[in-house]
Amino acid sequence: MTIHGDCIESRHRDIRRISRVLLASVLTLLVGYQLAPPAARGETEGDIFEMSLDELGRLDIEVTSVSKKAQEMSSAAAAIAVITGEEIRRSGATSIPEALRLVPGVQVSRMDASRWAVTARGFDGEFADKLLVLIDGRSVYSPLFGGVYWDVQDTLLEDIDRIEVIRGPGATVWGANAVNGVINIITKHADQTHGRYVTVSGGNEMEFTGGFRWGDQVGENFHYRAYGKYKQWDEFTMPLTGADAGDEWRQGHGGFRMDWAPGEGRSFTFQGDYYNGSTSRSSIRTDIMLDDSVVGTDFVKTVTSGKSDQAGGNLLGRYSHDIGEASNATIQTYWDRTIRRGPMNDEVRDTLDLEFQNNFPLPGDVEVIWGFGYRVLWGETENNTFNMSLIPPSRTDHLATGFIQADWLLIPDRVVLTAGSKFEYNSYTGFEWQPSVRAAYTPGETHTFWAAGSRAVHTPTWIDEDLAFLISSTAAGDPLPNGATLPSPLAVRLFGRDAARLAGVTVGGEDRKSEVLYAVEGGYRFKGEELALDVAGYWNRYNRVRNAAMDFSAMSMPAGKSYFLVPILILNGIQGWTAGFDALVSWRAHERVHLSTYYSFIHTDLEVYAGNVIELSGRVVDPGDAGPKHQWHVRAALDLPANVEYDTLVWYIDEVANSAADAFWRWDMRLGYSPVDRLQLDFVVQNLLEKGHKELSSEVESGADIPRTYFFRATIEF
Amino acid sequence: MSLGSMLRVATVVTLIGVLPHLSWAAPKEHEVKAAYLYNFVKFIDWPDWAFPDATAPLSICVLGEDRFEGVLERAVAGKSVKGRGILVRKPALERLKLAGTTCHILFVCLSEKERTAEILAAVEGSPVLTVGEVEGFAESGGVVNFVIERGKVRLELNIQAAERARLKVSGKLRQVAREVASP
Repeated sequence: MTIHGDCIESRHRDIRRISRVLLASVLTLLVGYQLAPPAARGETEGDIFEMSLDELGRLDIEVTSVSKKAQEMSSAAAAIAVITGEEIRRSGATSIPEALRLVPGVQVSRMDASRWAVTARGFDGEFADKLLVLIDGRSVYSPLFGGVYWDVQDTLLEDIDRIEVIRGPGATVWGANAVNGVINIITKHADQTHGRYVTVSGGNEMEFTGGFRWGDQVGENFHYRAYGKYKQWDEFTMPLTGADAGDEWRQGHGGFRMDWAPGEGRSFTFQGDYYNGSTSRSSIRTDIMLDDSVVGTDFVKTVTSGKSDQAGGNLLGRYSHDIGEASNATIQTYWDRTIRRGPMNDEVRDTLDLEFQNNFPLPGDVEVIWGFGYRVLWGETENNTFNMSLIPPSRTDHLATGFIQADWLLIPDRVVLTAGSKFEYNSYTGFEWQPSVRAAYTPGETHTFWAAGSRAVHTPTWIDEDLAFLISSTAAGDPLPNGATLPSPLAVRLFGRDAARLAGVTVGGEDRKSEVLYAVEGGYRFKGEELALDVAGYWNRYNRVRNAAMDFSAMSMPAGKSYFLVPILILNGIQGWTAGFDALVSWRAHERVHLSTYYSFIHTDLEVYAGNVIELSGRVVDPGDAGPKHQWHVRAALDLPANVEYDTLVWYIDEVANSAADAFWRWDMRLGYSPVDRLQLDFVVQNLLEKGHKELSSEVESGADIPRTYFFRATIEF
Repeated sequence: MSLGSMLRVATVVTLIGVLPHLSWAAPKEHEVKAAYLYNFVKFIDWPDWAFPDATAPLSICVLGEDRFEGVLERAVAGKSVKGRGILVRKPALERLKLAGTTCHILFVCLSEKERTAEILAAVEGSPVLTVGEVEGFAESGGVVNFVIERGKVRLELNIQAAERARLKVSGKLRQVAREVASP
């Protein structure tokens, strides 16, 4: 489906009509609900007896008995947030990055149908590279550039148990790249997904999504499930012009998980996924293509289509063994293959990873956790254009890691101290260490104060070393980013250090180094029976952040060519700091009403002391303007009578100067109805307020307008 | 007024308008526990020999000073699960030790805290789902224990104890409960 001309108006009328009807129904229901006497509101005893075990477990009770035991307060000394599978279901999210919008302090921006930028605590952008993202213990950030291909990270959302997010450095335990945060996506144990499950949805932009899961058990201890999913998104439109964004997206996923617990504290997990799909980006910038009359034939391999294909899969095995009461050892290995064939280049990557982890108690209330791991990454690329290539085209990297961390219960039930460090050896910078010290103080059951200091590194990635990227200006007299003007038609190639050496370009300066973060954080959490409060603040000092500079002193014209080569050096020329806070208030106003709101603020002060910050497009930007300064979310989840659920999410995102994206308000809502047990019907509207808005531009092309989206969804379990 | 601002106003009304009216009471702890007891009937399979015949009722026994205030009796009255009616009984501990006193679910009230070991020993080896509300009940050999966590009633499950009692616990119940083991 594509929206054109007159169609838009009629669709708007439809949506207005639908919105009014929905709003009216919701208001009517609410008013009716308030006026009804208590008995009619389902407050009778009998109603509780019709509830499922899940519902009973979620019921907030009026505690009257003396059996109330000490509530175990989550006393983690970090800015941790968890979103549950239930919250994801109720949000109407259709993908993992959309679900991450629920996490306070995480910035999620959609760029078109299939691309998202996700970050925490600054450094936003399509290539945001300071998060570690794991799915069931498998690292999914791309070693090519340090960021995540969000378009292929998917599963049946109903099988996600929870997403745990740590904002701030988590490098001590989790390792390199966990600079600004760790996102841990955890799927359900196979014993929780018995039965058959089918979901089908369709709407204006998300044309179709269908999924199924089938799970069962063999004997007492062996549980398994298999799932499949297919989705198809229509293309969005471009801002201003209203032209088709050419970003239609289709993808299929399938996978399985088996869990076996033969007893005596032993458990095995074996799981795997496969996906295959294609995305399009018709808006590939044409100004990076050079005319062959200017530059000669070796530049010419014209991009005719923005279509790219993705395929990949993974297999993961884990064995966990409880040793006595308080000790556990886990060994895990996985293999992951990622294949992306795009207009610019093809990439095939294999990752083999092995990890071991053990925790045990020591006398004196000390708990030790330690582990080690080894990862090998094979990458191979093929260049479809001269514009972007990796020199050499293939590379093998090794990563050896070890960590140790101790939790010391300094004052029982009051003060916990945690200290530890990660040590690793990587192919780019050699040895790195990433220590942290944390303290949590819990005066009483419901309050936690915490503070932490950490050092974390972002190690160089493949593109930092080996990328050669063409940025060009085809006319004499064009200004260059450094203020000079071109003497004649010029091609500028950006080289990573290795690439420059191999291309015979003289490179000066020092060797590449890791970006280093020193972080000081602190926070307060209150978790009462109805009210929860979570405030976390941070001050992050960044040293040696990556940037680039053109080295015109080394400009050369290859023999027989009519263009120049200018090395662009990858430097570590940015330093500075960010500071900010996230504040969350969550209020279970009633067993049927859950309200929450959060506000997130970041101030960025980065100084470029060597080189420039040049986007791949050649634009010079202030790295501090890459993401929104302010974010505000309000969420309400209401359980109405007659098995109706109403969820609403309103949020405000500040402008993003570097993307020329304006501040916007967005309103999403979902109306759910379960006419009979095991059947759930949903109507979801996202971005109800506007027909579209831009959230973020990619570094290489303008982002599409994120349109108003509505869809119906039916799910059945049997 | 544009559509946008109308909707914005409506949102605020939707969110704020309902709040002052949301003061009705949460269910009482004992009501939720009673509801769980009733639910267990559906999620536990007793061996056939635990019943004299295919239509014999299932007995929920409550031991000690309960606070159900009749909620449990009213809830199960007239209900049947898997073709069996449900009875609520309040036997004395001494009666439990006698052969022929059949309890399928035995809820041990807080008042019996000091006698936990004695009670569990009395039904050891019988197909009885023992349910407690005292910290450590499941660890000391009870099958299910109610714990209050963050204002919610949660379940602890000792699966070995269930196996010793020849009870089959459904995956659903295992999923919502936290498994604990005897030391």
